[in-house]
Amino acid sequence: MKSITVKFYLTLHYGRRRPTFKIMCNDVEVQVVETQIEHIANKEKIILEFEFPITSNPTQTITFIHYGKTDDDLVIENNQVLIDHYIKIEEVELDDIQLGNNLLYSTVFYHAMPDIWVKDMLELGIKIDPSYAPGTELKLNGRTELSFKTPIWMWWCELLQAYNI
Amino acid sequence: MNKLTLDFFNNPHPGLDQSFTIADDVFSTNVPIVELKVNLDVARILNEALVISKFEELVRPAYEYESTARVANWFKTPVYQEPDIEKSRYYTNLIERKLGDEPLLPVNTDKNRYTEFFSQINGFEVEWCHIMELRPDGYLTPHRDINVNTQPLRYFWIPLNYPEGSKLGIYPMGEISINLGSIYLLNQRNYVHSVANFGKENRYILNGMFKLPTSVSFESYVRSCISLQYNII
Repeated sequence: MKSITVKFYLTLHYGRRRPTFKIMCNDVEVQVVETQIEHIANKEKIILEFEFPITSNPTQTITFIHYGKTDDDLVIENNQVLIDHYIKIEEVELDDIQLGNNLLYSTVFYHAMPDIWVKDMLELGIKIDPSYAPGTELKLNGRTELSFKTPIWMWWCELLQAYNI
Repeated sequence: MNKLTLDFFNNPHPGLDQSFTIADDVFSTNVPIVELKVNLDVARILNEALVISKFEELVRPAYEYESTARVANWFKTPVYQEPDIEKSRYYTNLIERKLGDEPLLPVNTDKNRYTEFFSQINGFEVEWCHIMELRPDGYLTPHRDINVNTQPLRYFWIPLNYPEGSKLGIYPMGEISINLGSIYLLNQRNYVHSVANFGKENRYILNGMFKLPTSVSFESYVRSCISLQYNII
């Protein structure tokens, strides 16, 4: 089975404790190698690297799961969130090809918040959709799916060609 | 050279299998490229340009997470620009949602400097143009130039030489065969394209935009070239 190297460039924003996450390749969890680029105050920049085994499926999917965030992870003063707790996907590199703007067109986030919370938010006038795109900011517990096709260069060109501007 | 550019040129493209409609405004027609076989003497244009031109490197600032450069060994010299051209006409980058931050070309209304080029073209006036120099190992990574210009075929692209290793690719057509002496109308707005120089010599391209209106006979000629080169419905 052929595999490609994947790199995720992330910024972790947090106060009391680091966000927790895991990565699935076509529904199978993978081990990642993590390299820290920078750590300043409440912000940490890292690169995750792993091998993605390409299957015979027409579409391949990387699932990035953010879990374990609780109300305690927010630093709040005077009812204002001073420090949030979330993950931002800054860039993704597939087989040495960076997605750039195409990252915005290829990711979707699906939250995993309980129904009661969604209902409470609605009562406060805030509608929480089950998913949003681009899925590059994981501010809630949930998953971002990045689906792609191979060869990567051709899929990259198809995405850019499809921008309807 | 970055991996995307290498893959773009080293692999077969799917090909263009579709029909097109010629728009009432022929320069809005959404075909990838049109060849105008006008037999320019490009060697004379290039020889003159090399004597009088000074090329300056075009550097694109790297994005924060960019691991390999989007462009390399790419130089440019201004040839001509109308004095009243609007910046937004061709520098607005709609993908990055911002106005281009590079300065306009130095205004040069003296067509007498590049007499070879301006004496050989007919049927249209030039709004702006410049000459690009792509040195060995130079490239522009696959991209689209998405700006506010809605007449993509107003952009002309004239190879002044085409040494071994020169490449122009347009997705999904693949590598384009080039005939020296022809003017190409390159739809850089709506099609992903890339250029590279895998050879050992500098390559030169004169490119720019027509000034409108062009002559009726020129528009008619462009229309006939599109009809010959594409399936038209």
